Amino acid sequence: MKKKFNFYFLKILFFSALVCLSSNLIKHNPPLIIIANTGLFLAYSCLFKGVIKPLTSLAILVFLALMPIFAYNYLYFPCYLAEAVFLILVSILIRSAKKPLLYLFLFLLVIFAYLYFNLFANHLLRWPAKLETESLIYPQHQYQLEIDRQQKESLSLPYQLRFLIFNEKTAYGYVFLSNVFSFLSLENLYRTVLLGNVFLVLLGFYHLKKLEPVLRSLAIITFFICLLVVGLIKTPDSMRPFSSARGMLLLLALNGFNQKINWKIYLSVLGLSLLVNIA
Amino acid sequence: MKKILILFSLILLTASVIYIRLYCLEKVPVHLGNDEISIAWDAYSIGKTLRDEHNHYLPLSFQSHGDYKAPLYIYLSVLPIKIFGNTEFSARFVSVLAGLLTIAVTGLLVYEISGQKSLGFLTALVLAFCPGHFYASRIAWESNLAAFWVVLGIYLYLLFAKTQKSLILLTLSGLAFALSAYSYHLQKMLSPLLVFFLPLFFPLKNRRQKYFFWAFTFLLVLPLALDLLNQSGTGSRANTQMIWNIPTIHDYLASRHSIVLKFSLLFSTVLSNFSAHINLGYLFFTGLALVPQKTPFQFGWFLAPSLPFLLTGAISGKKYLGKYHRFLFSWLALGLLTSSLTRGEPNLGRNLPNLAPYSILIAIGFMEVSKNARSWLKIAIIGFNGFFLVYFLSFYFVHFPKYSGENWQYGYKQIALFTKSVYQNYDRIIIDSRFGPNNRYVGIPHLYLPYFSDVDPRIIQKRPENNGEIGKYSIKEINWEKEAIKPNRLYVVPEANLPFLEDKSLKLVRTIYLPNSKPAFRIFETI
Repeated sequence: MKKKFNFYFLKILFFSALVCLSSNLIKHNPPLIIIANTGLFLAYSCLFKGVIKPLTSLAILVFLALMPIFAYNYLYFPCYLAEAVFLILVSILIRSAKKPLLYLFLFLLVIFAYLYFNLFANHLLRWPAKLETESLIYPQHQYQLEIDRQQKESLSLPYQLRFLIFNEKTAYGYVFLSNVFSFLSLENLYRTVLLGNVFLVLLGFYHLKKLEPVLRSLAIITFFICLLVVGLIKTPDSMRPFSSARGMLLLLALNGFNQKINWKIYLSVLGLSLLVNIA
Repeated sequence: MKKILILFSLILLTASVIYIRLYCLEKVPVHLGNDEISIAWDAYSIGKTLRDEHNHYLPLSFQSHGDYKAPLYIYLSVLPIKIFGNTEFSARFVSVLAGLLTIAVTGLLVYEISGQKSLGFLTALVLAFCPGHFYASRIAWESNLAAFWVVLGIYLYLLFAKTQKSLILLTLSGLAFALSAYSYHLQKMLSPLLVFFLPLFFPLKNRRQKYFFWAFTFLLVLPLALDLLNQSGTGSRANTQMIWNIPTIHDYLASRHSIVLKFSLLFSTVLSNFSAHINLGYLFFTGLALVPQKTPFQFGWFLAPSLPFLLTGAISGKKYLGKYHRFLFSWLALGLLTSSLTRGEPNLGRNLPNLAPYSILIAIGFMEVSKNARSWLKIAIIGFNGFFLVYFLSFYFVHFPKYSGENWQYGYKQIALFTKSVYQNYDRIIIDSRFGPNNRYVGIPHLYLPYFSDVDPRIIQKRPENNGEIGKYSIKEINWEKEAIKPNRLYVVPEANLPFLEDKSLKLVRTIYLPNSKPAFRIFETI
């Protein structure tokens, strides 16, 4: 039975790889990037295959390989190496769940590695650890001028209260939240994973509880780190911030697919999503 | 005792809502905007002569500047202008009244579908203090009036569907939907959809009633439908606003034969628009555009701290609304969809009918969270939202006027009042139609001046025959190099088109300042 499954899974992997290769080719990615993207998709698929039940539903991987995020070009090859390191660490972490001390150590290491990788992928860090302050929301001269202006002109507020409301912390906090919620848009999501998969990802997020504790914690933490970085960027790109979380997006989509998805509806929406991406 | 306390706080809250909506209505927004003055003038002109600015007799769509306006707001404004005179207050009166009535009807609607008085009142409160609705209902906006009719139409229909007794309710519901189509162009799409779907969601016992409802509403909007088909007036205006008439998309559609490609482009554009409409950052943080873009302290259509409650309300909507929750989402989806079919960024005016369902969801979220929350959390939620509300109101009344003078063509009223007082002293009053930095904008002083100086509308109607002159007023772009300066004239010029300094034949008599103390216009007389 096990042998049968392995053969089936290999077939699925083979077709997924073909689909991923094709979508990379359509995007005119360089050969090295195509190999890296496909390799990473296959690695993530192997890592998260246990999420899918029943195993016959693994065929969904072939369609998930169409996600535009797996044809994304970081334009900086070390990012792929960083992602590979993160992936290896995650796979070790999953296997060390029964050894608490090692698990804790590895967990912290994974969080640190992901944060580093995310900053790197979003061009906020240059090798090895130089912060690109120009891409950050802080500091902006215009904001400082506005804060000063509000402090002087808000005569309707008591003097002390003006400094409590209009200061750098409130201003940047507000801009941070505004960035985060503007980024979490339907358009950014469907440009990243295709419209047909947006529902799967959201459903997977809603049913996070059904994931193993390790994967659940990882999904939540990567999501929040992703948002933290998005909030700090002056003008977030639509796809780049999600690129570092593509493994987790795949995991959520697989988890979402577990919740009794109708194949016919899924495939028809996926077809429609491809039409959107053609435009 | 408790009942008296509740009643007292209800009265106090209602009074404060009405007071805040009416407070400084003639001063904030700081001046009548471009669309507002067109509406106000047409209403004044109709009230006096039964003809609009362009001399059309009781038109169905009002020719404006670069577009056509829906008729109902203008006809309804005739009375306030007659009563209160040619002021900002009278121009905005219909909108503010429609806004207040929308709040009340939304509260009643929620009470009707949920059976909970507290939820109904909370929804009304959320809508009353929603920055988007507050802002919109203090401007002479036709869409605000349309939003009221839509909510009223839905409320009356649901009342009828519940009892199935008095046919008057159904008739009034149809009338309300028809009036919404006469109030705002976009409603010509949304209202028919709602009229069609309502009986499907809430079936009527008698099939004839359903057909009566459809036929009656259709009959009332028939003149508009004919106008739309004729491609004149409202029809042409509505058509230019659709996404398929964006030049790039129009060219693409014209140059491609493949239906798949055409469909994919249109579908992706609508989807992208739809996504922009439901963007939480836009709805709660930046959508209102009350202040310049580079300012960190922006506002959305709703108060930022109410964001979690929208999400909670969306999840727990079914618990409170039962079978009605599907209709609520469909109402919102239809509203968003029709708005997504139009060009440009999400526009508050086009989305006003959607603010009611959003508010209902936020109120449900509040109820759900506060039901399970401890008292300190409840106080924190109320305190945080209250704080943001006070912050918004102080921003709106204190800072917004300072930021927005030029956007609202500030200065023309002041010019009108001054020139009216010295009208007899000069042979001609020449006004430069441009304003703003580097004369970037072209204004419509030919409406501001007569409106605030109570000029007879017949003079404006005959303006094309008089080479654009209105009595002694002459409106043109002044070129100082070619201008022949003659005695006994008054020149009104924007700050960016001042006469040459060495010119001794002109004497400065008045400077009009923007609310931020920058000079906007200068008035010279010839010596």
